[in-house]
Amino acid sequence: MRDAKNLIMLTAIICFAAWFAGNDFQLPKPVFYALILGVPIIYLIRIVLSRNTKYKKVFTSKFQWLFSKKHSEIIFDLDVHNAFYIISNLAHENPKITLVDTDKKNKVILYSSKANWLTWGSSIYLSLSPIDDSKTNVIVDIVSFQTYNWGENEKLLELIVQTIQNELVI
Amino acid sequence: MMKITIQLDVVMAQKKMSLKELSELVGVSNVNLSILKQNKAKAIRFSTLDALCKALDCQPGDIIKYQ
Repeated sequence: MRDAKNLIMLTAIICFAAWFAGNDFQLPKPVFYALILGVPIIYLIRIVLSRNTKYKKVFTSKFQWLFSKKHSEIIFDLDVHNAFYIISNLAHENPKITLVDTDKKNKVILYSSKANWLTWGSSIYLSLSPIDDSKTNVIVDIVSFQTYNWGENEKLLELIVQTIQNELVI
Repeated sequence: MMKITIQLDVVMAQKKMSLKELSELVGVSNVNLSILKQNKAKAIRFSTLDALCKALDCQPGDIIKYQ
């Protein structure tokens, strides 16, 4: 669904650009080329980068104003290795999220949420760090690929916290 | 401080059963059983308790203790 929406967006951008070109629209040439080439390229780069935990900082940086973000921290009552296993299996419990990538070394897990009429879908980065032998700090960063989100990030955060808590019911 | 404790390790030692064997019999992952064993679980499902009692041939009271 999210990929289909991305494709529709990309097609729409190309169609608009072609329409402007066909109607001899009076845009300065550099601006025209920036639009016709730059926007789809940035869009494609965004799609590729958002599928890898390595580029987390690109999307979660405080200087990133293009996307709406939600940041939160949870203390999980488990050691970091077990917490990583439990959190990387959340998608089995919740069909609303999909596991995209995991980085076992740096203990980062990336989920994506499905698109709907209010959102293009979000990336959910979960970074785990040990507090002590039996406690783990989980940093949750939710990035929605739109400047304004309609409360979807907050709902997602609630869903993630709830799913993590439910994982401790054996 | 929670007073209900899981004595899974005691029952497993009595029945001479490893975590891996129990995990296969019960159908719960090693990690989840380990969480249960360490008293880190927030709750236990009746279905899990039923499977544990069946696999270890014991009563729920042998696994769960109130101290």
